Amino acid sequence: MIESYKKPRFIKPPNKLKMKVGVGGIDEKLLEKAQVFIQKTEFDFKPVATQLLKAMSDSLKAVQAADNEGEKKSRVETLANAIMQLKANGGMFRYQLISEIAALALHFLENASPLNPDAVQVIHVHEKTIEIILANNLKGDGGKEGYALVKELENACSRYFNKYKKA
Amino acid sequence: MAYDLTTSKILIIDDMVPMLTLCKSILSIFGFKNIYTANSGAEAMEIVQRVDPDLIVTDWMMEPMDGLEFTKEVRKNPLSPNPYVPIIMMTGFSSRLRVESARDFGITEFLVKPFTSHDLYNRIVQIIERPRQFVDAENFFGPDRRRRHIKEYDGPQRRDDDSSAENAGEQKSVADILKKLRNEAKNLGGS
Repeated sequence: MIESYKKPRFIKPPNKLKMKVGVGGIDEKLLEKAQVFIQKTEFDFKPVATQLLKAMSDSLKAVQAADNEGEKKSRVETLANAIMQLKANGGMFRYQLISEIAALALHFLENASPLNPDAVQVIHVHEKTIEIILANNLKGDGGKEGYALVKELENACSRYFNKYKKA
Repeated sequence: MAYDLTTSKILIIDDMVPMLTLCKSILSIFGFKNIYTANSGAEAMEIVQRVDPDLIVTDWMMEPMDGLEFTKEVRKNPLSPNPYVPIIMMTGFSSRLRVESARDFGITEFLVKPFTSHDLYNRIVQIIERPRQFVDAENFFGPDRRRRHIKEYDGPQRRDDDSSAENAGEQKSVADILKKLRNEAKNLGGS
């Protein structure tokens, strides 16, 4: 029996935006002005980050406590969301180092499935590192030492992957 | 000659108010005059029906209606005035798997957070200058997903500046804390 199916249609909708804005782009000076605005934004991210860090910590504990795969998967997703928010908003609100460490943790989490105790430990160290950075109110990317710290955490993640790839 | 953004209607949706304010300010600096904001999908849907925006920028993770469900509403709800409206989705997620699954909901472009003013501008230019055709198929309605592959995020993106430390003493204490953390990280993750 041949099943009926909807044949795909390709549609070229009118480009309303193009018709309104015309040609030419946006002046580079305005882009620079907008970037300076982002870099100087005064919003205090610390209280939000503290909440997100608590969510990260609670989720990590919940992942460890989960007694079946379905629950663990759901807890990992909650954990990923908290880390993602730290990454996304930290970088927008002048805590670039936190953002970079959260990005590493997220990348690790998304590639270290299933989470074994060593993987949990790696994420826990990222969490503790963010906690200390936040407690000391270290804004920006941390310069040379911040870079070295990120590299060291990257190395820790690599050591984990090397160890479990071999196993 | 530059784009005339004064008559375009743009809608931004984010449940984090400071992010909403930041985006509104950036778009205002770009030259947009008609900027609408919403901090929930439901509120955004009401604005969509009322003002018929030319462009939508939405966050992904929102409650109770997230950015994907909102996109589905815009694309499929008969009350939506323009199911073809371009939608830029902001998210901190960047793995290919997540991006590709989200694209199935009808997202036009992705903007990975944190982003720069140039990143946002580049997405807007893509939409204006290289619009995607739409596909109306059995299980999908939305912008053609085949235009290009989005490069998978591959490690952290560093910024050039470090505006944190304001004097040498502060820099030293920051460096000490970070050095200590680095030494602790050295012993992590097995040999």
